[in-house]
Amino acid sequence: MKIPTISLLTGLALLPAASVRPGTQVITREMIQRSGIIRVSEIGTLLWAWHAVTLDGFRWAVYPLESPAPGGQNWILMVDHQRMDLDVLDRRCLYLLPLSLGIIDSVVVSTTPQIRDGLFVESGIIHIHTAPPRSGVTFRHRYAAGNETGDPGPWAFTPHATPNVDRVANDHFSSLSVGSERIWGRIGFGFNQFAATDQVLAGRLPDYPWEWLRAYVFSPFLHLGGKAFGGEHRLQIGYSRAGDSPWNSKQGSDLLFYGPLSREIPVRNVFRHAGLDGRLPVSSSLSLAYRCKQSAQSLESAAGFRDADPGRTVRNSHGTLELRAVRREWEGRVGFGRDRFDLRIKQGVTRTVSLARLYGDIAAAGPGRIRPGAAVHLTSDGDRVSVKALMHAAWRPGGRQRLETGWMYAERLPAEDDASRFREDRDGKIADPMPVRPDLDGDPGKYRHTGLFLEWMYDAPKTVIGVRGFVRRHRHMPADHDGAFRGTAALTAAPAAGTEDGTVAGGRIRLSYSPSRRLSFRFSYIRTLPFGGGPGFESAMNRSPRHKLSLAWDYRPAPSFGLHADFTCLSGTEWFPCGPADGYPGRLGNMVLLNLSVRKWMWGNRLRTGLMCFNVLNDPVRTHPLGARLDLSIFLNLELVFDFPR
Amino acid sequence: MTSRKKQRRLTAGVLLLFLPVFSPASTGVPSGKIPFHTVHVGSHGLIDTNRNRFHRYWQSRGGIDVFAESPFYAGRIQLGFQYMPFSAVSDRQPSFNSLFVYADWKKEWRLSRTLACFLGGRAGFCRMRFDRSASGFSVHLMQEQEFAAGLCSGLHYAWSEKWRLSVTGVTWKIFTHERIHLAFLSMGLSRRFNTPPWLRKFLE
Repeated sequence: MKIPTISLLTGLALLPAASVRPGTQVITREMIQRSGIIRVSEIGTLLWAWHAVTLDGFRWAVYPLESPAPGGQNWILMVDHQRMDLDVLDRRCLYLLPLSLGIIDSVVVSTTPQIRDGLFVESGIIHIHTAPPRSGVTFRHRYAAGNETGDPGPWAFTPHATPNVDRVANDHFSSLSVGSERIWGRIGFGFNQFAATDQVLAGRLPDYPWEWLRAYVFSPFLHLGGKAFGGEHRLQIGYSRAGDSPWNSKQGSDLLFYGPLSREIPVRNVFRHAGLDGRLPVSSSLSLAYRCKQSAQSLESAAGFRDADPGRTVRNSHGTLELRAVRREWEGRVGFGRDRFDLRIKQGVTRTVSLARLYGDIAAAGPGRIRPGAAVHLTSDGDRVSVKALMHAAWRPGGRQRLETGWMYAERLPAEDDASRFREDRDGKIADPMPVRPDLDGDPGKYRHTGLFLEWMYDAPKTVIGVRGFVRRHRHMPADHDGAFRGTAALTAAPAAGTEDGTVAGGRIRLSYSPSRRLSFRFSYIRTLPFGGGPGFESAMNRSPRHKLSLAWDYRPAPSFGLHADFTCLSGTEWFPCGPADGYPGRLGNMVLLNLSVRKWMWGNRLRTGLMCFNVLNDPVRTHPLGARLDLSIFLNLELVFDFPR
Repeated sequence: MTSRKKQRRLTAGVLLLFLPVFSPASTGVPSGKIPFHTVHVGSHGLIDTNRNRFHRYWQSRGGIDVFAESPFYAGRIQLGFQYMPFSAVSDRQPSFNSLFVYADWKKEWRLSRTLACFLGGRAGFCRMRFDRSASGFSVHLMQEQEFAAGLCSGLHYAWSEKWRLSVTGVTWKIFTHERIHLAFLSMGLSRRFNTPPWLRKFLE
């Protein structure tokens, strides 16, 4: 397993490698395999300090619980050091990532402020690292299928008939990789199918033909890497399309919830990405890192749909150049970057946002066992500049204990949000290039976010303990982003055009314990407490659970056989303070979720099978009042891996 | 006592009949400790023993269970399928064929040199194929598949090293919206083989 180096800015680059880092969760390939999840977008359900919301069980939205949902949507998604811009209509379409669980090496998730690959992380980051191909040739094919219980079965022919709720999850993934010491490449594709048949969705889409309820997601990709000019370089090319089947004439669509209509609209959703990054040594202590990428996300109406025309394309060009110095006593880097977002709609209207970034950070070995550090990040939209800064210090009093603290101040220009989230305006015109946040009189319209955290960690070979406290103050936070799905008119009744102030404090405890190589146990509990906010802020916070408790247990009686359990408790959430709206519940009660999985590898680990029972307690899980009720479901995955080492 | 309660008691009785009475000292795990070292291949005849609301609409004349069983980490694993046709009581419902594809894991205890009892859990999918000749039913519903789970217990009588006679009680809960509870009683023979090295290597 490869644990990627955490940003210098956290001050950890000067510390010995540790299995626990402040505010960070590392999900390894083994953990993914044990959990039994079958799709990349379901990684959100494994994040202990984050909240995962879904309307249909296929499209998951996630955000860190430390931040209220609106601010929480500023989190960054990266794959192998390249930012993925998958935002459509104010949500991040993780299911469009041209990846498969099979090639993921680790996922590093952090809410600790830092500069990561030229971007300032103020709310959180999910960084997916793919496994570098081995020397030789490797072929892998993965098949996964799912079934939600609760179909009518033979009762359909009796007075006890109920509607069909079957959700098809028929996923394929293939990849072929070829590698050597100096150069490697990987080519492959993913193909997912999904059918929205839950009664909550079907109830608001009664006239939609079956084709619009079924999604086919096809995602081919090409990864190339190599060593040249003394450094390493990577090229990622990916394409993803949710809509019709690529194999036959079957039609399909991607269902995106559209607030003004209070229901999903069928669209064809296409994502393209091409990015190059690498590092070149300048001298023994200096190196130059570069990153550039082009991506585009397009929406089109599904055939025959006339109610709203989502036709639009957002293109992004991004580049960063960074100089890094590593000395015995200190490390530092300076860099600059540029982002350009172009929105183009069918009628020819365009809107462009350009952002320039300049940043630098330093971490040094301070007196005693203290390691201080600081960073500054400036962003300009051409007219105004936003400042982001942080300071941090790590103290290792000796033994296995570590104490870390950090402070952050971050301003966000309206253009920074507009850039990533061109969306519908309040009249429901999907492609009208409205700014997300209008400037306020006498106020530059900057969203200001201040954060402070303190974390104590104990890191022993068998036991890891972390206790973290945090406070985050939000000023001029856009009030009308609920981060996931804004929902019905009742949901948007909150002040839509204004901004909100408020503070979130909280704490988190985590514990990992492995008494033997066969048995491991992990525990996490996070509590958030909002205060000092207006009604809009409170309303946003009420949609997030205040308590989240997670437990995981893994038992491996043999290297090729294992059992796993994931247990999650979430406190209730309130969505419509005045009670049910449009037939949807105003409040969701406490949620308890237990997933059990079993895995067996055969044929010298070439054939890997896994079975996951989702929601074993069969108490319907609902993460959004407009969302599906997820009952007991069974997911099966089979993977064939053929390795031909050189 | 209502008929439903009677049926439940009957089901419980069938299972209890086969529940092992054992002391911890008797748990000698005679079934071999090395995973996949041996494999039993066998076939059982099945009858549906319980009666509930489901049986007001469908009844079965019996079925067949074909399986393979092998030692597996502190117990035994069995993979198999059970085929059982259900005939509609009236022409308002179609008859259908059910096929349970399942895996179970069970613990076995030796009661004497030739007799052993076992208790375990099983899970699988029940595939239902409805009679196409029945008219007036939606084409989409001619086939259905649903998760099923249950318990199994029973007795093995091994009169030789290779052959054994088994009597098994199985309960199934099929997770349709209106759950279907079935209790099967089965009896049949199985033969033990040494697992071919290539197969053992594959499974390990």
